[in-house]
Order: sequence, then C-alpha cells, then structure tokens
Amino acid sequence: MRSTPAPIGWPQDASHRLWQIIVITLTAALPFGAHAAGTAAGTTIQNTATVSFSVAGTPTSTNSNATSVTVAEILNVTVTLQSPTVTTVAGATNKALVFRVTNTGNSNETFALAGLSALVGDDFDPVPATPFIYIDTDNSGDLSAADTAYVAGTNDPTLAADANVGVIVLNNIPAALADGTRGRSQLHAAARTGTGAPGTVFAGQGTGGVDAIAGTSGGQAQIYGEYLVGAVNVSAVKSQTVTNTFGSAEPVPGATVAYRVVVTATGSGTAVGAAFRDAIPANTTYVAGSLKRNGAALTDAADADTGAYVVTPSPAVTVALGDLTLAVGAQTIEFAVTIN
Amino acid sequence: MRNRIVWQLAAAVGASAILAGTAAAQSAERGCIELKTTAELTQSYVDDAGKSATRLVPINKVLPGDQVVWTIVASNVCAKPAADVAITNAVPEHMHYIGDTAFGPGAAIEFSLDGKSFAAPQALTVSAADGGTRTARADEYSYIRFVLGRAMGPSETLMVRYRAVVL
Repeated sequence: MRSTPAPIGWPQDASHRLWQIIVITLTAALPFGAHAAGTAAGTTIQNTATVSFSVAGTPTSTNSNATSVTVAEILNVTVTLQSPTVTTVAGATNKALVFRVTNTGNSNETFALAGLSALVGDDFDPVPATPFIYIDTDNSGDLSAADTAYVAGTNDPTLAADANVGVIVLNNIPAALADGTRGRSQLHAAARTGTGAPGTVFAGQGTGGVDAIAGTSGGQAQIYGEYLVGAVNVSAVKSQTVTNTFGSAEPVPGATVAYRVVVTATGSGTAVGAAFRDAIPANTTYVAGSLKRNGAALTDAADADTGAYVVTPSPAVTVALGDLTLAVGAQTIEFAVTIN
Repeated sequence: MRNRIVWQLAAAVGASAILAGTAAAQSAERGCIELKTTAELTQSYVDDAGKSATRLVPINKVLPGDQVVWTIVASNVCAKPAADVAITNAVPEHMHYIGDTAFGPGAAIEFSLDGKSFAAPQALTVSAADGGTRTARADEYSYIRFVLGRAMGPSETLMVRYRAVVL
C-alpha cells in the first residue's frame, strides 16, 4: 500500500482542518496573478525572525537564518480596442483600427505583434494594407506622419511593467460590398520570452536570469476590431409652384416661382458635411429673404445660420446641411425667384 | 499530552523539509533557542485515492499574487528550560500579511504597525480619512509576534506559521 502524502508539518487536529478551510477560501479570493504588475521581477524578498527568551533569569534573543525568495518574471499582456466600429465604404483604402497593447507583467518585456484579417464570424475579409501595422509612435491615437511601420523582429515594442503602446492596423475594404456588412481584423501580441498555458516556466529566461512564467494571459492576447460598410445615398427632389398677378400658373415675366427641394439620406452610412447648392436659373432673380430650411427662415447673408444667397461665381442659394443620416430625416429647402 | 507529542513529531518533519528547501539561506545564530524560517507554497495535487488535495512545497521563487506560507521553527538546544519565549517576525518587504492566517499552538498572537507596540487585531487602529480612527486592516500589519505562554523545555521544538501575499 502506498502512503498518501500529507501536508508537511501539520498537527492532525481540528485546528489544522479549520486552517485549511480558511486557506482555500483565501486562495479563491486572491487568484493567481491578481496584481496588474506587482513586485518587479528579480526582487529578493528576505525574511529573518527573532526569538526573545530568558534562561535562568537572563533575557536574550537570537535571529533565525535569513530565508530569501526571488520574484520571478510573470508574462502577461492585454490588447484592447481603442476605436469604435469603423464605418467605411466599399473600396476604401488604409482604414485604421486603433489598439493598445499593455504589459501587465512585472518586468520589461518585448512583444511580437501580428495582424490577421481572415477571421470567421464576419461578412467579409478586409485586405491588409501595406504596411499592415503601425506603432502609434507619437501616441496621437490615429495614424499620423510620425508613426512608424512595424516590422516583426525589427522594432518589436519593449514595454516596462504596466506600460502600454498604441498600435494601428490598416486594412483596405474590398469593392462591391453590400450596405451593412461587417469585416473584422485583429491584433495579436505575444511575449518574446515565450507563450504557453498559464504556469508554463521558461527557466532562466526572465529579466536578470530569473525564471519567466506565463501568467493568466499565457503571455499573449488578441482582440479584433470591426469595419462596417455604411453606404449612404443622398437624393434631392425638386418641385416648383408658379404664381402671377393674373391668378394663374403661367410663367410670364413678373411671375414668382417658389422652389421646394427635399434632400433625403438613405442607407446605414453618414453623408458627412453635406452641402446643398442650387443655382438661380437664368433669366430669373432671387427673391430676397425667401430662403427657408425645414420651414425656418434663413438670412441671405453668409453668417451664423446655415443658409446664404451668393452671387459669385454665379447666383445660387447654399445650405450647409451637416452630417446627414437616415435618422436625421429629410431636409426641406425652399426659396423663390421672379421671372425677368 | 498526546496532542503535544503529535505536534512535536510533526514539527520535526517540517524542520527536515526546511533544511532541504533553503540550502542557500544564511545560517541561524547560535543560542539556547535556534530559529529556522522557511518559505513554502500550497500545491494542489491528486492523491492516490483520486481526490484533490493540497500540500506545502518549499520554494525559492515566487510571483506577484502568490501566497507564501512562512514557517518559523524554534528549538531549545540547551539543557535548561527557556522562559518568556516570544517569536517576532517582520512581514517581509513586498508582501502583505493575510488576515486570520497566523497560527501558533499555545501562543498568543499579536500584531504591530510600527514594530514597537503589539496588540490583538481589534486593538490596532490607524487614522481614518475622516479624521477619526478605524481598525487596522491585516494588510497594514508590519510585524507579527507569537508569545508562548509557558517555558520551552530542553530539546523541545515548536512551530509557528502565517501566510503573506507577494505584492
């Protein structure tokens, strides 16, 4: 019969069992790797106890041995998506998804980055741009001239414990995609020291020669971002009403023509900064003060309101409609001219 | 009396494990009572009956979040009894004591925030943010003291233990 290993050094009494119960509860409350970074790898934790006592009435004290343990390197990383779903159009190029890679281990670590756009669970595969991945060198949160293209093994980011870096993934959007379809692209970051199941030991490979151990993340992490094809169609329907002094609808000289244009955005996208411009027809004259948007009068001057009557390069009415979406609803613009 | 004997046997087993686990540690001072400290972690395993169980294994490396079991074994190596025995241990740097884990059979366990005044947990207070005082949390203790309420006889060995988490 083989003996069952027992906890070393414990008296087999009731208090022992109680203590074990307490320990198990505490272990559950403080999971492995609970601290974001924690004590730096390579730190030596030393412990010396002291005992005081008296022998034959003489008080004295002695110290214990100094027991030391060394803090090993824990390999942990998180990747978070910084950009919301990117609304784009079919055929767009260099559309950016912004990620952030954070070293949640307890030592300097270098991370290899990899992007992947052929993912399941979406409607289309974005096409990796060239270059595919940029380091957000100037920490601007978007792609800018100062950012550097990432080359695996050449400029892998090295992050101190708790430090992070922005990473931008660029994709081109295929042509001929239906409105409302989604495509995903992910960023993966992996500790150069090693990755593996949590608890995997990389003996002596940590900072300063300590052991490195895969933390709860396994030393790697990934997350995807999403592109949404948001097509938008803007339509304008124009109608006219003619009135003259004879009480008929004949467009004779001196008659007034009231125009009404209804602008509508359809689809899931946004017409950013939509601008309305309608030329005053030849042989007519704009009726001062007749411009309205959704029933509200707009002054003819180029001022704080969205409308204006302009004479150069040719007479026209303009209305800055702003960002139009299906939700914003139809915009009705009205103005009048007289026939010369 | 029976409990006492079992306890001493168990302590002796613990001491041999300590010697194996801390070969690199500095040796203890000589005196009538010799102290040995050791660091261990709880390891889960499946026993011969297929049941999961835990055991303590000596360690020399830790990770943030690890709960280290610190064990201190005291042995009276003189021929005379030692009275007024008190074992004091500073909670190591980069660690926090975990409440309710100090264990010392027959010993009164006291804590300190400054290493000078020791008291039971409920008697330790710190300044609160509102200007008053509050009971100190276990992670604020900086020292633990085990006060034995009796003399240690010649050749007697005893052990005390607590847990602390690596920050």
